[in-house]
Amino acid sequence: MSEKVNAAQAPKLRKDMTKWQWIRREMNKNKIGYLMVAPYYLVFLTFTVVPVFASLFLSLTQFNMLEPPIFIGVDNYIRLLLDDDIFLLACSNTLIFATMTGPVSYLLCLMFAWFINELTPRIRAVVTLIFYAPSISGQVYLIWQTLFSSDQYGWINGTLMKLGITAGPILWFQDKRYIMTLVIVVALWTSLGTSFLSFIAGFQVVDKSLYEAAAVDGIKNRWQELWYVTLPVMKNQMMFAAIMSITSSFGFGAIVTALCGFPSVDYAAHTIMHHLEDYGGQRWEVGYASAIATILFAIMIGCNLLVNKILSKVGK
Amino acid sequence: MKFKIKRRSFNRSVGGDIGINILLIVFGLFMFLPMVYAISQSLKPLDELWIFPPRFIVRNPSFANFKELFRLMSESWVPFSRYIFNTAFVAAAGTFGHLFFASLAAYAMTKIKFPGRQGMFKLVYYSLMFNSTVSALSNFIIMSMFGWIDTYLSLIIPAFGSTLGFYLMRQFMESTVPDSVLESARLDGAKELLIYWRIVMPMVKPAWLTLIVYSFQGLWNSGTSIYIYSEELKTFNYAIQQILAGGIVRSGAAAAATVIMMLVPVTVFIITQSNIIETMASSGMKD
Amino acid sequence: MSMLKHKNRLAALILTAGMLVQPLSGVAVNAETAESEAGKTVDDTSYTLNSLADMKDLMVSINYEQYLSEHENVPDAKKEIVIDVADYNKELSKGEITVNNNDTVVRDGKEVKASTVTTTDEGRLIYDVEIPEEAMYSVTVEYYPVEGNGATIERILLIDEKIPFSEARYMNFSRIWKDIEEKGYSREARTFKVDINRNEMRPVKTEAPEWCTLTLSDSQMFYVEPFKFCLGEGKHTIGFESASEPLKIASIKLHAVEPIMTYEEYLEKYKNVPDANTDEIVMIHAETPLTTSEQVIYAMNDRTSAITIPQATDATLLNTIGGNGGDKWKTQGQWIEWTFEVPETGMYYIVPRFKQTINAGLFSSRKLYIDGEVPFLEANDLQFKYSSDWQTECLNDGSTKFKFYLEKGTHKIKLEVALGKMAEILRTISASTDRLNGYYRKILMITGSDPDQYTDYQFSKLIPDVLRGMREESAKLKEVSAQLEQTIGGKGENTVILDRVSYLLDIMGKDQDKIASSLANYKSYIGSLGTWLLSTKAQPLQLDYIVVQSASNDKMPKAEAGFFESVAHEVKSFIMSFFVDYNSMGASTKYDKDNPNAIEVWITDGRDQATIMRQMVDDSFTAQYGISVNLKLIAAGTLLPATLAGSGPDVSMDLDPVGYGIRNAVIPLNYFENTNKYMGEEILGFSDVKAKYFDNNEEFFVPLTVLDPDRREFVGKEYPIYDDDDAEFAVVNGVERNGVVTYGLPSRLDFPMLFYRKDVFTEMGLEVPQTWDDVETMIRALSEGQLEMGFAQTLAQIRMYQTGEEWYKSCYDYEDYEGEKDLQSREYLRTVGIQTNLDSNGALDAFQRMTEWFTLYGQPIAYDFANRFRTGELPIAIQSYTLYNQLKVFAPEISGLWEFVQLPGVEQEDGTINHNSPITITSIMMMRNAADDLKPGQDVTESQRAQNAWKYMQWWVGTEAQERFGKEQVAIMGTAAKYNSANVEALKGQSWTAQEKKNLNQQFKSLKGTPMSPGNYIVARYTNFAFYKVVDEDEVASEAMLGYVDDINNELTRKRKEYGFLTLDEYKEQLEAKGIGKKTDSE
Repeated sequence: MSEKVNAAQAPKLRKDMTKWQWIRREMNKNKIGYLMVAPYYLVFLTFTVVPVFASLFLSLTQFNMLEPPIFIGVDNYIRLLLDDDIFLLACSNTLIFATMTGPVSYLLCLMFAWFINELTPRIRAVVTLIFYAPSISGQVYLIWQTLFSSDQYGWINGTLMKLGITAGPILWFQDKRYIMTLVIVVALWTSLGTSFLSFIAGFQVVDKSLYEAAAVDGIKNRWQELWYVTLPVMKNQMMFAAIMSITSSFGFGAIVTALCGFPSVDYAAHTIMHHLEDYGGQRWEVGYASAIATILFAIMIGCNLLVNKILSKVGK
Repeated sequence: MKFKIKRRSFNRSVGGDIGINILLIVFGLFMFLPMVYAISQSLKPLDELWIFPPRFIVRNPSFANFKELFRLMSESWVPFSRYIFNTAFVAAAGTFGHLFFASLAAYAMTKIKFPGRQGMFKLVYYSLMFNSTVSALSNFIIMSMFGWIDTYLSLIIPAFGSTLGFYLMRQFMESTVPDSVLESARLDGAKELLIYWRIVMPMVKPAWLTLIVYSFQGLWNSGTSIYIYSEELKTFNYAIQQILAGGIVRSGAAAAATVIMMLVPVTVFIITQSNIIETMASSGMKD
Repeated sequence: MSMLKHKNRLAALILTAGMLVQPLSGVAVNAETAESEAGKTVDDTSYTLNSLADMKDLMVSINYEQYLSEHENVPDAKKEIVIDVADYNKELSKGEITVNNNDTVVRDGKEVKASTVTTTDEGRLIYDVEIPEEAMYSVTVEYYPVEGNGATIERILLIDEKIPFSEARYMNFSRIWKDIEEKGYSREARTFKVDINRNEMRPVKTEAPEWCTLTLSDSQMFYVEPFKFCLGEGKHTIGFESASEPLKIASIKLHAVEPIMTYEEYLEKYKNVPDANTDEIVMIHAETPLTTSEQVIYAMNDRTSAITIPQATDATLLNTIGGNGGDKWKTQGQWIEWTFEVPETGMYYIVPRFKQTINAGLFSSRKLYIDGEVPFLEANDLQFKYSSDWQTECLNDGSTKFKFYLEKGTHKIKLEVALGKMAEILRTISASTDRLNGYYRKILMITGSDPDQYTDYQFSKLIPDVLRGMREESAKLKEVSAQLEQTIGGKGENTVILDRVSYLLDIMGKDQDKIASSLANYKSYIGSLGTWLLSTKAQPLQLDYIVVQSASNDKMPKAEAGFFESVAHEVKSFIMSFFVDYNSMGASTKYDKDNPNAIEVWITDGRDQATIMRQMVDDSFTAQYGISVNLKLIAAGTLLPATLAGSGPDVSMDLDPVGYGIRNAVIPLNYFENTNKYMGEEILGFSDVKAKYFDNNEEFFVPLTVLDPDRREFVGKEYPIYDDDDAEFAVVNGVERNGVVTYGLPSRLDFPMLFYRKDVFTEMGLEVPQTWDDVETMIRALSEGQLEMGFAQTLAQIRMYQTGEEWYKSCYDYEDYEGEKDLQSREYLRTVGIQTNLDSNGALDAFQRMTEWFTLYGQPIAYDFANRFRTGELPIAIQSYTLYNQLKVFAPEISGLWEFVQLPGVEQEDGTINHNSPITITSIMMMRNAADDLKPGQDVTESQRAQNAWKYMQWWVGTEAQERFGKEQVAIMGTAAKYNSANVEALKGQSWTAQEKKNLNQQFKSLKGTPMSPGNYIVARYTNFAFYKVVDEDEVASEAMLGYVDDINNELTRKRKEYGFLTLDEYKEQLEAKGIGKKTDSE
């Protein structure tokens, strides 16, 4: 480039600069941007990203939390993927939970948000509070412990025995036949969290004129109206809600521990999160637990990409 | 009184409405059960508290548990006003620090086209999904390296970098703040910081209210923390939990404490509910 | 389906075995402290059986009210009979009795030579007495509270070697405690020892026995006047049986007590005495009493009011006494005595500044003594009204303000906890609660736990007395409710319970069909009545000061701070909270981290425990050893990351010290032997601690001791290889460093005991099961009365230990050893845990029998123990003995009707019964940070901080510290806060009754620790899975267990390899190398 001298005056064109030059130029033009982003990202990196890398590094070591880690390469992954059958059981349980609770709770949130949307603003606020309050208060699954208590005086056991359906008390949370179904029901019940709010918000964004137009085009009942008008507009909220419900259904574990104890009988409701806590907490093998965390992270990212693809087809 | 005929909107069948309302009432009751249960537990005298199967509605309610809790609080060496101050200070400092950092970063990422911002946002987006037992361990080591153990900083600084708040703020800014407004301001020679503070922040009011609620809720409920040792730095929940760890005798006061600890986040949610809904409306994924 | 599996309900049941039909009337149960009666047989081998015999005897005896009505027309005694204490009846008396013929006795202030008799905490002292003519006599005893181990002195009164009435079981002789005037505490000048931040520290209390006289009266204070005993003409015997603690007696007098004058007569007597003409106001600080009746009544801090004298915002001042929480000065019989001086003779007002915030709508009562005498009748019922603030009021009985005649000079004033006007009401309700309990069990025997309202149980034919009893109780309760309303001046929370119970009783009593349907309500009403009775009997009161002012001065001192004053106080103390150093509260020297002498101790208990420990650490540990301690109350889960980051404590507590030890995070404790007293003269080395505080019970140390393979010595020497037998090991400070290490000292201990309901067992004529076969026969009897037994799932382990099976395989399973197994040998420690022993025939049989209780005998798997035990549906269960606390709080109405005893055992060939039971130990550990001041080449025992940490630990597990820690918890949180210390002496020093101590002692002799091996968590997990496989899917027990044995062994081997422990294959190779290789089963 010969006339370097008056380069500053004549605006350089994008095409006649190398890619690297262009980036450097843009960077110092917008260096104020980096300054503004720096504070947040410094904290975010140290307290959220560093643990991710620490976990990745530790997954290649044998580390019992109190002595320096010993590098063992990919042994953890080999043991995890090849000869840990509890891990396979945990994966299948997690997938069952994810497929069962994910979409079902997603639709549940959608349905309730949609119903609530019908109400007048004042009542809607109250009803939203009632539906969202439990997840704030944290007292969520206490009720289920007493409802399904294995004591013969538990509510369900008591009524069943009174009606003569069962002879003795059923150990709801200790009997392999009942654990999975019960835990899924409780999970659905507690999943009305952030995704539920985003649906409620989404419904309010749709401006009313669209409905009039749709009515003219011959939309007869509320279901068609939902599918052809409301949902396409809310596509973005749907995706955000999808991520949140997938994340929560994969990270699903605390409820099972509270109800069935840790680990559940015969690992009936043992999820990947439980497996991670078992090795990290009781067995003091943090290296192996980090390997599980990495694999879980990979699965979650995979599912997310998949779900985004499916959702982008809604309303097409 | 103007009698307004409520015109039935054409595609709503009466049966459908009734069905929906019944469903809502049933499910609503079912969802609200734990709150009612917690409140009724806190009103039960000691002997009724352990009756099994527990009775839903308390038979002879008494405020003995709350009195016991306040007596225990008044007998503690560190005045309880200090514990409440600690919680308020940590929640406020953490929330406003987070608000300022996150909104600054969100503004820069959406309105200043510096290279690498998409990659940075992707980092935040994916970090929403990661959880492992290692994070607690590594954060503790980082804290002790910085020497922040047993200081307020150990509770406040991590709150600055929370991911959900930043994500919502960025989405909201991207969807509701038109670039045209900024271009004209930049032409008049306004500096970026000024634009951010004068123009953009007032426009994103619902977003930062939601952020406040989420962040406040998290920090308020922060109970026992492994970073805090000395008495006078403990938060309100931390102190209460330690009082109640005294044994069987304290379970009445424990039931009362759960209700008190639940009240504040719920009231905060009620106040800012409308704003949260508005922010969530914009939280969709654009790309 | 096995016969017993489903619970069928017999239409009608004739009570099994010729049972006492008499309802449980007359059982005056001391709801506050569990009933205590040393058995009739005196020898220590007296068995649990005797407490059942007591129960039968108790259920027969009448209460004092009936005793009085039977002897209504007997006149009061005219003459006084003094018994010469020296010549007791030698044949009838038992136990160790020492007579001292010229002992000095103080009578009304003068020292006199007289003979005295001292009895121990066991035995009987009986006297012959000649009665001139039949009359009612009261008994006055002149006694001296000899120092024992601090518990209350209890005697049982016997007339003609029988208990006249049930209340005669609890004669309490109160002790006298005094604050030691040293280290800055002086009572006159009201000064306390102060720590560096000016916080006042409590003085230590010691017993200061004096000669006192006691006229025998109801220790529950249900009856205000002393007891009257009817003695017919002729020869009789009268005496005491020891229930607890020794006692010295100087004289016993049988006489009629002259009635005390009423307040009018008192005023009449002093009518011409003017009001004291002095405007001086005498101030008595309540926090510095002359003497108290309990060690746990001491000066307390109050920060709720700005004008409590003295008050500070930046320091904790001990400005009050008594208090609302815990067990301080609220149980009948507890008293506090102060001394004060009056300038002039005359009439005075006595005005306390007090606070009573617990019994809403009621009042707390006190009994007043001036110079040891109750001035007038009404002084028995002083009332202190309820209010949420402090109050100042003249002493009154709810209606008249009292004036007192005081001569110039010093006087003594004593306030004793009493029931006052509530005595009569509470007595009736207490008696009726017991009767209602009895009726409930009778109904339960017939209807079973969930009665069906449509079945006609013909109650009127079967239990007519119960129906009649209910109608009587209903009327009685209605009358008492009216009386209560009149006493406390109005309906309210307190009367509503009585009305509700009486209304229900009325329905059930009249219409027998209603009984089945309302049984659930009846059950919960008895519960709330019991709780109401317990809370109303407590008379909490907090005193700031007592003012004595002339009767002419009606101006009361200011009771509560004004609004602005209290706001200012609150704001000021908030601001000061930024300057006060709370962490070294109680430390007399400033704690600084780098001072090598200081150590850091972490605890994760509740806040109450932390407050007690801070106080103890300063006034006993730091004072004694001069080492300042920084005590921190931290959240669970902090210990691990902190130790990793190097900022951990020096001493901490945990359930699994071996887990920390094998990862080199904890220092071995058996290295600290203090052989040549290098740590100091009075410091106990490891084996001294083991001998002194745990009487060398190896079982406590089995879960804490391991042969740690990579015990790299801190001195860095290369470690000798294992199997060369002639390897000689380094000896440092007299300890052979051969890899056998103990990583913790036991601090808390938990083990299961057998809880059972004495009343249900007495009614059904059942005996407490001693062996598992007895349990089988008992269960059949129980199920006929619709009752069940509760089991714990650790039963398999209990049975294994009782049949001599070990939890893990060890060298003894692979090599032939003759003679006694040495569980301390290196070879055993090296190999224990190599494989699980659950596949042995003994273990499989134990597991099989355990599951049969649930599958064959249909006993409940999941049950809410406290609830069912309280109602009596589950009258017997094996549970952790710490559940004692929950029962005390949750089921007050059955207090005294239940007991915990030794577990059933397995009969051995030689006829003895093995009652072994597994134990869980929480232990105190020394973290590796304690030795971070080591220079290279130094041995760990040479680190100054590690030595200080050891000094703290050997002090903490000591009897003095553990006993005090337990007693203080009871003082702060009441009798339901018993501390399960691992120190045997300290545990027995708690306020257990004599019978409870005996039962605990028996189980203590047969405890068995479970060795710890890496991977031990897997054994409990898979045995649990095996159990549910049997119970849920009806699989054969042995197959279910064998299914998991391989998984268990694989995990054990994997974890042992990870930490360098010996695995099975290596061990087998070593055996072949040595040519043994014989008995290697499970190939």
